[in-house]
Amino acid sequence: MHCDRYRHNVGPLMDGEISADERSATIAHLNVCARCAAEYQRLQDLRRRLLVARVPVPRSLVHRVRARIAREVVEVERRPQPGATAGAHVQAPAWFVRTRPWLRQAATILFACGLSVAGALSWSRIASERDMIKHDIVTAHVRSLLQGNSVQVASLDTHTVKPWFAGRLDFTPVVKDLSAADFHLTGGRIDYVAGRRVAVLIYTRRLHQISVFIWPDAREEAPGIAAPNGFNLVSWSHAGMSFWAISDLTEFELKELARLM
Amino acid sequence: MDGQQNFERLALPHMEAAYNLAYWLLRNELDAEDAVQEAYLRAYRSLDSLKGTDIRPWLFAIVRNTSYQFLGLRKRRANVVSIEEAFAPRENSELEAQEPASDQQSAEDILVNQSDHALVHIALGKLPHVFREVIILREWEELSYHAIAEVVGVPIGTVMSRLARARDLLGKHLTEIVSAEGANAL
Repeated sequence: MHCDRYRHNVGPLMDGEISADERSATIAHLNVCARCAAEYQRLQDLRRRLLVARVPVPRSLVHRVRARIAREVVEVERRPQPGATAGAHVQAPAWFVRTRPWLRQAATILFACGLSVAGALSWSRIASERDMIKHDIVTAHVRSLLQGNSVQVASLDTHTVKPWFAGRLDFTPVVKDLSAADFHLTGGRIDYVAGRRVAVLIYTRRLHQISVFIWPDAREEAPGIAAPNGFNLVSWSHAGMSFWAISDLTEFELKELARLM
Repeated sequence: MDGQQNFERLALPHMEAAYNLAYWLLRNELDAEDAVQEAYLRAYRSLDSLKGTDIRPWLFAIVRNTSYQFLGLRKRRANVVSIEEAFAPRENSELEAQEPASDQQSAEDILVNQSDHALVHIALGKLPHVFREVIILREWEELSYHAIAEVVGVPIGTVMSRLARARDLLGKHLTEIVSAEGANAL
């Protein structure tokens, strides 16, 4: 009676996790042993029956997860320093408020740990200052598009936008009216790039938004072009200022804007 | 975002599996959603540590660890309820909820179908976590013993013995519940 020996093989046989030798020996045994054959049948029935216990995944979950990761991309890449405790007003997202308090605490702790690790990692990964600037600009632009808060001062009038910056920055950006060239000023905001406050002018052309980041930089950088993450990014220097324009417009159109500014 | 796109391409197709694993460890939809979200975030952050071609063992291990962490938090918060208590006793409410309301056509058929659904839920819920997780990974996700060992972090021999035990226990629970129900009906 080898039943005990083969009985242990019944599950692995069904799972396809058995050596060829054992397999043929076990099958031969099943043909002569009603008890083990019944066990094989039982395991198969169980497998089939178990399927009813699968629960459907809520359709909103995939959106939730994707949104959370998108936010992570923005937050981590934007962090100016590892472990910095910037006093920025971070608004808790809706899902975060919805969750129960203990989960929120847990999430906060996990998030803080994750951020410090991820912050340290991303910091070490950033090769150069220019790369960091590029990262910051892309994330700032994407975030403004995602959150729909690209403009802090909404005005089509250059004479409103320019003074608005005056009290908020230690420099005054050039604000030009380019509507004749079909670049329409919609406003401006302050953002944070490469560890400093910068001016951002928002222009629109057709339905596309263009963010122009401006800050003083004595170095005259050669004009640059990049296409990070499907956006076009054009940079240039003029009169002691560094300009970076980003949009999903073509590089050609961004260069046109660069010439006009 | 290349990393993000890459991650989504790899991980999003397995969300249904991840959610089921989390749900069956936590036995609560909201907690399972939170656990999956947290696990995917952690997975995204540690994508560099992914080795091999199949993302599932790696991803499910993160989902599993996150779920257990949530369980621990829940237990600490409840402060009095043990994990197993928090899990097991749902059967009465579930059975009641499954009572057939209609006496049209074959009432018996409806009873059998609906109660089988409920019975399997209850029986699976009664399994201790260590058995529940291996049987889910094997029967639903069809992971190899080797992959399950990777998810759970135990030797393959342990996976095999747990799986065999899980199948025995599950069968036992199913017959017990059926006979208990039969006794109630009388």
